[in-house]
Amino acid sequence: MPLTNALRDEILAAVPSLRAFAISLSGKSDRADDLVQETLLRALANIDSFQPGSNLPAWLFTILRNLFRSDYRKRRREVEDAEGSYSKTLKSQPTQSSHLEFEEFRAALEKLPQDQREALILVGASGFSYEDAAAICGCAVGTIKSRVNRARSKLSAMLYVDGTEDFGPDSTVRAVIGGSGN
Amino acid sequence: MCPKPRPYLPPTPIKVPSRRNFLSGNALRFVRMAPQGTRLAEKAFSLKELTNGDSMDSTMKDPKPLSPRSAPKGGLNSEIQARIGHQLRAMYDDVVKQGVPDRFAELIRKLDAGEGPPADMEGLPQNSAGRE
Repeated sequence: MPLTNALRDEILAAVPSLRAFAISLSGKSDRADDLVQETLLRALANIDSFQPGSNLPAWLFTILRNLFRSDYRKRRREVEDAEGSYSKTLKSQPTQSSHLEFEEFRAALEKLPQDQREALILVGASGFSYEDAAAICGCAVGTIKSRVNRARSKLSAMLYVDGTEDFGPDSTVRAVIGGSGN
Repeated sequence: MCPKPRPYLPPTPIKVPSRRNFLSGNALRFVRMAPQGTRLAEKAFSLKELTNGDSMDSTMKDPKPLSPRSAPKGGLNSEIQARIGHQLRAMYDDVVKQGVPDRFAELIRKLDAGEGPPADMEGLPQNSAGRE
C-alpha cells in the first residue's frame, strides 16, 4: 500500500520499541540506531509489499531482525566496544533496580544464545504473542515457547542460582559458581 | 459429615451394593471399599471430597514429599519468573520511554518528501509476518 499519513505515523510510533528491540539484540545503542534507521529505509522503500490491516509492528520487527542477523552479528564480532556502553546511553536507570543489578541482568541476557534471547525479548518485553513472535522469527510457535522457557531457565541459573536470596554484590560470584545451568 | 483421611482398604470381596447406596450419602463408603485402580470409583471419591471442602484428595494424591529445598532445581518458581520479567521490561521500557529521536523523525519526513532511496528487498520478511 502507498505511504499514507496514517501509516507514516504508525511507523513513527513503532520507532521507540524498534530501538528497544535493537538495543536488546545488539547490546549497543549506536549500532542499534543504525539498525533502526536501516529498518525504516527498507520498510519505506518496500512499503508496497505491506498488507494494509496486518500487523505493522510485527512486519517492522521482522525486517529489523533479519537485518540484524544477516549483517550486524558479523560486525559485532569484529569490533567489541567498551563495557557498559549500553547503560551509558540510558537517560535514566531503571527505577526499581540498582545499577549493578541492571548491569548483571544485561550481561546475563547477552550470554544467552541469539535464538533464545530474541524469543524472550519479543514475548517478555515487546509484548508479542507467541504466534507473532514465531512469525517474526520464522519458526513454529512451539519452538518459540521452548526458546523462551530455556532462556528463562538460563537467566535464572545465572542470576538467581538458589532462587531464594536477593540480588547482592556477590551475585556475580554466585553466577560463576552456578555456571550456565541446565 | 467430615471424612478423615484413611487409606484404601485392601481389595475385599464386597457385595454389590443396592442402587439405593449410589443415591444416598453412603456412596462415599462404597467408593472407599472399592478395589484400587477402579478409576471411576476414585473419581467419584475425589468429587465427593471436593464437595465436602476437604483437602484429603490433595494430601493423598500429591506425590511431592515435604522437602527442605525451597526452589525446585529444574523448574522456575513464579517469583523468579516475575523478577526476570520485571528486569527485562525495565530494561526495554527505559529505551521505549526515550521516544523517537530526532534523527528518525527527520528521516521519515525526508523520505516522505520524495527523497527515498532505491527499493531493496534485502532484509524484508521472508515469512508471513505482516502478511496475513
